[in-house]
Amino acid sequence: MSRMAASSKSEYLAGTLEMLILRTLAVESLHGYAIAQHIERLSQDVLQVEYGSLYPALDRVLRKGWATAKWGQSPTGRRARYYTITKSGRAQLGIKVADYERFSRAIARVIKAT
Amino acid sequence: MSWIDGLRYRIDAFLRRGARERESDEELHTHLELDTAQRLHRGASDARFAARRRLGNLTTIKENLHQLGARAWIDRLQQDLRYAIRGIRRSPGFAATVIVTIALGVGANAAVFSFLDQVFVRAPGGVSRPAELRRLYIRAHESPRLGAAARTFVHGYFTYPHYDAIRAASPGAPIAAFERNGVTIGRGEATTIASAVWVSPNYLSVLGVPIALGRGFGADESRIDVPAPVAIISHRLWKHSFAADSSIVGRTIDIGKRPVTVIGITRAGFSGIDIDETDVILPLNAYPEPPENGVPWYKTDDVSLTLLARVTNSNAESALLARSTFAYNHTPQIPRFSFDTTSTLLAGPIVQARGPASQQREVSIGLRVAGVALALLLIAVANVATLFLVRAARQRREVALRLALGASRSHVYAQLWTESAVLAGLGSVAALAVAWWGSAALRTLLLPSVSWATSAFDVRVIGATLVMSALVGLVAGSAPVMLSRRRDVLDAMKGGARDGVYHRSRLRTGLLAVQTALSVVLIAGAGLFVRSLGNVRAIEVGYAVDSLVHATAFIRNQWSYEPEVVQAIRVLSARMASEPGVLGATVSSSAPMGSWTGVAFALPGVDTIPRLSGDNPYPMLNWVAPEFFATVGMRIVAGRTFTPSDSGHAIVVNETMARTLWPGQDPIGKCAFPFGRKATCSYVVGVAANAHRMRIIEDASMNYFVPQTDGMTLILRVDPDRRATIMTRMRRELQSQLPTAATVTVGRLSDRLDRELRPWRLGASIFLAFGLLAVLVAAIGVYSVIAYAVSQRTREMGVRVALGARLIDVVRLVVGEGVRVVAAGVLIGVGASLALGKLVATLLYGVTPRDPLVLGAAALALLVIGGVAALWPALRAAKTDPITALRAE
Repeated sequence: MSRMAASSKSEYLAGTLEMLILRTLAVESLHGYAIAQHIERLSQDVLQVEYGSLYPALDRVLRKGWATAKWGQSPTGRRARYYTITKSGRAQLGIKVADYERFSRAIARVIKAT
Repeated sequence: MSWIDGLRYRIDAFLRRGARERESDEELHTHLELDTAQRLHRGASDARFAARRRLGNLTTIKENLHQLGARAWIDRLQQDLRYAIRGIRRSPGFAATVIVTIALGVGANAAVFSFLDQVFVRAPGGVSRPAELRRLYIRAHESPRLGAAARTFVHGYFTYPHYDAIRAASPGAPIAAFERNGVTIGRGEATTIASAVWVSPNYLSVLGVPIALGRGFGADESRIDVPAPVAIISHRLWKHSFAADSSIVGRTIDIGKRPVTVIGITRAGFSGIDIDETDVILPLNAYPEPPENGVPWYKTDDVSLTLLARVTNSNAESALLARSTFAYNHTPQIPRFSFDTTSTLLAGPIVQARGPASQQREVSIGLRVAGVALALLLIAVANVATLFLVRAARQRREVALRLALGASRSHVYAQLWTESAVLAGLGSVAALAVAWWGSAALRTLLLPSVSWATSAFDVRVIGATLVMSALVGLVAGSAPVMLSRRRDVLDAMKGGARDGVYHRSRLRTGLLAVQTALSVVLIAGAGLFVRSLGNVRAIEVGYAVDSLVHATAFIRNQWSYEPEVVQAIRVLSARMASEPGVLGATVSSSAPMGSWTGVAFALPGVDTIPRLSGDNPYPMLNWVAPEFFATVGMRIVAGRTFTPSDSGHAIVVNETMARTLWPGQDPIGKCAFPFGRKATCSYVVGVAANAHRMRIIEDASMNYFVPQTDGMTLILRVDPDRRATIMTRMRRELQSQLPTAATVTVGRLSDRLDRELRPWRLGASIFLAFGLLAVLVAAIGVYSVIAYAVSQRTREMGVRVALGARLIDVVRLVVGEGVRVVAAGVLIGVGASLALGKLVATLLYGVTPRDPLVLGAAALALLVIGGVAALWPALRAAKTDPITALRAE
């Protein structure tokens, strides 16, 4: 995702990334790297998260109050910043997922049409 | 709620800015370590490098992260400001030019705004609901007379009988009357002069001005036939002259050389309804006009009053006007010089300058000056925009570099804006100084006799200055921003590397042309006014202007004949005869071009004598001694002056009167009744050359002279160099012979004419000043553009010269463009001058707005100046050695 790209495309992709982050955090609280790994693993490496956009996306999520962050200790003993989803984050996740499903159903209908 | 959490985060981020940066640093490094560890675990050889590459540009990420914070915005602003200030310090010439241009353009406009605001817009202070107040005017119709067409004119002067009738027609309606004049306060050494109004008893209540201390006029002080020695003073006067001492209420002080009891003080903020301050309020019944032939002034039309009314809505207004018009046209009054007219009454706003009566000349000039100031502002904006454009063009390389290094376009724009904002800010401070000086100067120049109630430089003017500076900065600053949009980064860098590419800019050319055109208009305007001034100064008034001085005095009032004064004048005349430099002496009833008396002149066998068209329709007379004509320089063209054998039954008429009353005949020896129809004739013994009655520019008038041996005024014809000494001596001598209560006036005719010339001189100097300013600013514009062009093309010029071109051809190439733009601008300017000419036509004298000489001179001046401004940088650059030019960047 080029930083210089036109706005609407990056906004759409940013929204998707936020959705994936929220989905990940809905399962458990993780630090940034772990979130990226989780998404890549679950998508079987199809979705390659642009690390450069990950942290700005996490910051946006924090600003919108959909998650909170706290410094903690990773399993390996490193200091890392852990993100926890909030109630409003869960609500937002539900909305975003519903939107996405509606969107993909619409695409499917167009493709399957004869 | 989501926004609470979000807000908490944002506040935390704002407050702990520095710590946050370190935290995200740490977070990113943790990420790197984790990724590196993972890759190592998977067996990659270049784990660290790969992890680094995958993460991307750390700096960019951090920049992005922190851009989202509010604090980052402030940081960036700080950075931009520092950068802008550094840039300004590197080019002080550019900055100084911009600041001075803004200061002049905006400052001049703010000064003009202040003047116009206070004369035209602002309602008088201290009155309640000024929107409901009206001044009353009369539209008088004059039916066609003796070669003059029918005339309609508007004036605001009512007589007391009119006021009475109007009030009777609308009983109980809030209609007040007043008359203004100056009064002395105190006596002897401690005398001061204040401005006073004599008012009808309901004046303060109609205006809605409350009394702060004491009381208003009572019922027993409100009868017009019983003068009441009471006064109400303004809050301002109370503070200034009486130190806010509340015991002044009830005390008796001298006002107008009579004892008067102060009964009240108005609330602060009220100082009359004119732009002059008015501090003393006296009842109308105390007006110092003596009765004439036993008839008191309030039964005659001797005194002119201004009428005010308060109306609640337009219906009430029309009804009032209708009733008042009827009452006005049916008022019985002494039919002296009454027009046989039917008049209509009009209402105008309380602000006098917006009313229907003709404007003072100075106010008309004020309006034109506003137009000129606006033109100057446009030139200033165009110039500043041009300067910014040139600078932006010079900085193209730097901007391209910044863009290539990753700055966003919006960031670069923001930085450009910041620079304009800083310059506009500095310019506005300078503009405040110019506005402060200019608003005071404009007042003194245009309306010096006004003692202003409000200060010239107040919050509104400051606000106007700041707003205008901001606008100038905005408009001028957007020019380079707009231009840089189309800049292709690579192209700019390539071109910039050699600085040899000169981009023509249509915007730049357009701005230059506009500036030049406006300058032509302003210079042409200045030329017209200067010529008018010259024409007016050359007018012959019919007297020996530079040689005449006069002295007069009055004890009780200036209208009556006072024997003590006459005696004192006689003595003075004898004493001054021996003074060196005195070439002649005479007495008369008034000073040259001073006052005249109008009485009912009649001719035998003629019902009504013919009237002249114009401002001076009726004959007026002056009592003069026989040597008057020789002393003041008035030629006798036929007949002779008075001799003792005439025994008082002789008159001398001026040429216009002779032609009008006795057309085609010899007036000498004709019979006339200079004081109204009487039993015995006075005979015309001589015809004097025409001289102006009172003004430097006036319509023809019928003036005649009646003999007398003594007079209230002494007129001396003196050597012009000795006028000052002689005047001092006259004042001293006269004062010594009269009681201390007498007022002595000594003056010279040239002063009176100077006063008349003032508005003309004013127009000429203001327009000339603005015109020169405009030319200066435009010349700077041309210079900077050509200088830039030259600096861009130095290499090109060097190459051409090295290849064998003559220097003169190369210079001509570069300069030719600039001169062409100037020429185009001049053409447009001449066209605009022709079109706008009619706006100033009424202010000119003896020259039409399309005067070819003036326009031609203006066009030529601008062409020459533009040419020089274009040539100078080119010649300077042309002197450089071509090798140096080739080697230089």
